[in-house]
Amino acid sequence: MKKSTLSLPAQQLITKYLNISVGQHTIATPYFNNKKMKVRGGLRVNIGKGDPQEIEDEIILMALRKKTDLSLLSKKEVITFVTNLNIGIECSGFVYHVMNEEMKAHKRPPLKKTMHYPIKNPIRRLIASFRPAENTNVATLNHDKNTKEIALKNVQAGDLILLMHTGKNHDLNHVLLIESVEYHKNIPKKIYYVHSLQWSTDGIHHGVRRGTIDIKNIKDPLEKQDWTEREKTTSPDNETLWRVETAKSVKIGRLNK
Amino acid sequence: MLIIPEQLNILRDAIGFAIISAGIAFLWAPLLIKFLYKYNITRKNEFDPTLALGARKSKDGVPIMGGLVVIITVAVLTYLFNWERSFTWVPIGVMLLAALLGGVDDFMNNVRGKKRRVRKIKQVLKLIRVHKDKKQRIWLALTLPWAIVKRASLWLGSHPGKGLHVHERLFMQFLAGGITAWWVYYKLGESWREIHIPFDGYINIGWWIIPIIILCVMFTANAVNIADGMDGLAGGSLIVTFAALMILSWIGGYEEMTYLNATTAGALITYTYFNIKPARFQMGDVGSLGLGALLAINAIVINQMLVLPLIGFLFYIEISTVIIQIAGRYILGRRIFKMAPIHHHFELRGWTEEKTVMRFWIIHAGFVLLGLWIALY
Repeated sequence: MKKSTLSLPAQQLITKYLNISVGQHTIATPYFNNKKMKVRGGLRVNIGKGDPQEIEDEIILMALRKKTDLSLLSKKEVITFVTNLNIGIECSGFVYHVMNEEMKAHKRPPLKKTMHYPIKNPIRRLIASFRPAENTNVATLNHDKNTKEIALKNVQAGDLILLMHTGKNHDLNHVLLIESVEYHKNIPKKIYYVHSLQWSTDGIHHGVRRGTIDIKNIKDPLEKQDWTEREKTTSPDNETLWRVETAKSVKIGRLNK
Repeated sequence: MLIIPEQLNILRDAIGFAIISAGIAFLWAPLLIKFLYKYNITRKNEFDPTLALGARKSKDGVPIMGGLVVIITVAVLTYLFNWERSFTWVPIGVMLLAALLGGVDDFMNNVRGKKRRVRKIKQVLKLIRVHKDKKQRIWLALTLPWAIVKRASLWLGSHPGKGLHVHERLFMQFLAGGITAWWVYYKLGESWREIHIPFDGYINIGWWIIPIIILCVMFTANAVNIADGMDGLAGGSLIVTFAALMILSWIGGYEEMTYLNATTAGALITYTYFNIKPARFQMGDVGSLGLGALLAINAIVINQMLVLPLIGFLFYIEISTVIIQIAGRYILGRRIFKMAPIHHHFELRGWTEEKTVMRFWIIHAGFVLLGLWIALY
């Protein structure tokens, strides 16, 4: 069976997000979205846009500041400590860093050079050029100048699943990254995706996670395929699938080169 | 080059000053340590996150204000044996002013009390609208620009504690720099407006000397202050720097400055003896700000301002890393170093304190040598 996968550096970065080292433990990077906190002008690691190294360094620094000996904490305490600090990663921040690594691995220009930011204010645009990760959100990724729509039959690793206006009130956007795709006679059979999200049933164990989509019928839209994540296969238990179902627009997008 | 007997006498006397200064400082340093312990003028980990770094936990409770041993020894010896109106008055005066500022900060950080806070601009604006006292509303509105300055200055500082705030420190340092500039521009005369440019000669910069001197004094005082973060780091580096300044003063024929630099280097030897790990005391702002101001003013007086970045290499590198870190934070949204100043970066990368300090000493000494060589052209 043919398989398309992300480059090794991009896969390593995903693994790093899934296993950040804190004290004696490794934990998956928690989910954090700056929408509620509205931190402005801060470090990107504090607004859910940091890379794994920055996240690890920030946790160490915050532990020093809070006089906490991380080596004495249990895994549960470590996760609570990190979550309480508002350190984590959001979906577009995660996708930005992994795809940036993917671009570098293929010797393509980094995302900050190829990404188009639909911002009119020239000052904001200047800031975006300095702080590309912070200014990349799902709407930016969904912009026609950044991604082109791909049919399900042509899907490959590195493509994004962009969900616009999803959730109960259709006020959320979300993005998933396709990590690998298995093909049978050149037709996609199984999609492995990775993303950063918090389900309402997650408790403290939220953040970067993996899931799969079994393609039953290539002609059916994505929401009609078999989604599995954390052993949940039906909506609304599988909240990722629920988000796909409630989205006003679901697009498989490929970043423009 | 032939050394005439007069020059030899000056050099001999300068070395004598250094020895006497070290000896006197050595005599009273233990008393100072005892005093600082008695009144619990010690480093508190309340506002210093670096103290939680594994090997640095032992620094909690170590006396601060140890820099007094240098400041007082230098001031007293200079007053008794090297008091020269045209040369040593102002350097000592500015050093004492900067030291006083540092001392107030050290003292306030040790006095039990609440953290001093600066109101957010949002809060001030709200109070202007809703405060029940009309006079207060007018006062808050009138002082709004000052409130903005206070708030903005927080960007330059790290974690305001009970001590002086950044804007207060900057104001005092501006004053110290202003006194130095006034003295050089108005009292020392026309020739002091000329800056020595190595390999080229002299250039008269007129009144521009005033802002340059103010900036130089402020920047250097803060630079030494920032470098004072590890046992022996600032002390050991300052010995090399003041020894180099002594040589340059001697070669330039500035007799009083030669003695002043020698006295400072001597007192610093004693200070560093007590400050190497495990430190019996730490310099504190009283020493670092005072000695930083003295370093800048001495280089200005002997007309070696342009080689100051080499003579005080370590200090400028340390302050530069802090500036880069702040710029990285606000412009790029990420930390350039794991922690600033740079000695903490290496500490977080696993270097021991001894390794960091000794390597920094060696690098600093190398650049001081380079500065000395360049200054002689």
